[in-house]
Amino acid sequence: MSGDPDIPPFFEVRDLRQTLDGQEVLRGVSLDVPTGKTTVILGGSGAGKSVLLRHLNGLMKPLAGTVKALGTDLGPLSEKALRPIRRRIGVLFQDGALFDSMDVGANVAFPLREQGERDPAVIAARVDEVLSLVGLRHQERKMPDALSGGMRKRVSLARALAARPDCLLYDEPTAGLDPILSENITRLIARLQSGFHLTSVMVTHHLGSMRFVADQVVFLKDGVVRYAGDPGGLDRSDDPDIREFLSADAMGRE
Amino acid sequence: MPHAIRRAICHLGQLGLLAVEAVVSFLTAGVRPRQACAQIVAIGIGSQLVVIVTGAFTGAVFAAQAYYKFNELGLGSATGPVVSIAMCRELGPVLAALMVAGRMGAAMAAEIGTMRVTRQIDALRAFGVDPVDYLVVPRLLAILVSMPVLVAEAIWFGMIAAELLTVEVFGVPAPWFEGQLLAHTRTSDVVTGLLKGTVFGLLIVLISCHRGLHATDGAVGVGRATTRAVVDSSLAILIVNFFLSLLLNRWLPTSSIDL
Repeated sequence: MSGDPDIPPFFEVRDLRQTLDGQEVLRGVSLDVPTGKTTVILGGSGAGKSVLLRHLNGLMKPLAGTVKALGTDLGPLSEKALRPIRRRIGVLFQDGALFDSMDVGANVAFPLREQGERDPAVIAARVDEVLSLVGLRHQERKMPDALSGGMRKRVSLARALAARPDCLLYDEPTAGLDPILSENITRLIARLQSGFHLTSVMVTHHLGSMRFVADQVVFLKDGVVRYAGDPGGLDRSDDPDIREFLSADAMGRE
Repeated sequence: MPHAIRRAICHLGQLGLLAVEAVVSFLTAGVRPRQACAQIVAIGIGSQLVVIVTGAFTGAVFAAQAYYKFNELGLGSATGPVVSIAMCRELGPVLAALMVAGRMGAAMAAEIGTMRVTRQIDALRAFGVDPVDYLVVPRLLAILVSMPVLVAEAIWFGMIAAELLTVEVFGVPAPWFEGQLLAHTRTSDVVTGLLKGTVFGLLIVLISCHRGLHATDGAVGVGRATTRAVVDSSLAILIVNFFLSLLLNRWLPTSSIDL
């Protein structure tokens, strides 16, 4: 595992179980997310990756098991008690989840305003700064429905970064994008990671993205962790499902 | 059948919880003025025309029917008081609320439902924002401000239309119509209408927001939530109106019509 043993993990997940519509989606998942590192949760569709991610900031409550963020068990916390923890965790949702009724600038400023920032000059400066980081400077007045898929993801990333979180959760950041846009987003995430040393958790089924950003990889299959360790170890795994996943990806690239 | 009853009880329980959550949120976190003002504009100002037209034509048609029948009995002078009491106590609040349910209840359920299925509600929560505080409380406050005004307008324009028809078309002298109307319209009649309208408004917001917050299954689910919001709100208005009428007729009785 890539974490520093002296620094406690940002997230600790123990024997997490969850069902959706009666189907078992997570079946005893346990993992640590090291602070300041990038953990990639890899797996095919329906493996339970996004459901696992939604537990990390308390958007879903465990059916059984525990999820701790910064040492605090999220399970018993009320929505109100979760707020201070959630404000330290930025999220990039799969389809961006931008607020339709707000323009790009208001979307990006939203977390700042919610954290009590009232000075318009400070807000405008920070919005400009994070939009520049994601390559969308001077796009503040555009409405979300006027943006392409890649732009929506970048605005969502800017919004997640605006309030200077300690951790970022990425839900399929490259899903639905063409290979070039996908690579651009992955490079952007890697650049942000090296620049800000955030704790990051990325859910993806793209091995290319994983290899570019991961310090640690967790491979999920049918709600069970089949591999957790350094990215190089995944290639050496004898697990037939991991071999199948890796070879399917290699075929996809040919 | 027991399943349907269980579902209805569960639904009512969820509505009650949403109401409690909204009150607690209002008392602890206050109101977001920007959101509340936007909703007052959407609900209060946006519903003006439809409520005025509904009130005016309802008042006119009720006056016509009342006049034809009462005049046969030599009671044409009762038209004003009957229209007034009906508009104040029943038609004004009920029809204004049904119009607002059709217009704003559908809009609320569709907007919040879309936010739910596109994960915007999750995004709110992820940024530490309570969806009830952000979406429901401003709408409740807006309807509390707007609904009494809309009901008053429906009543007022209903009476104006009734007077125009009765005086200009049926030839009842204006001072006679107005004198009878004012003599038999009590403050309690107007207060009853405004109270009912306020209760109906709160029901519309709670039912529509609840439907939106629980929307699932993408665009189809949003459509379903919107339809259910309008149907549920309309039924709730009509059913609650019956019980409110029984209650308020005892607490705030109308005057007896003495011709």
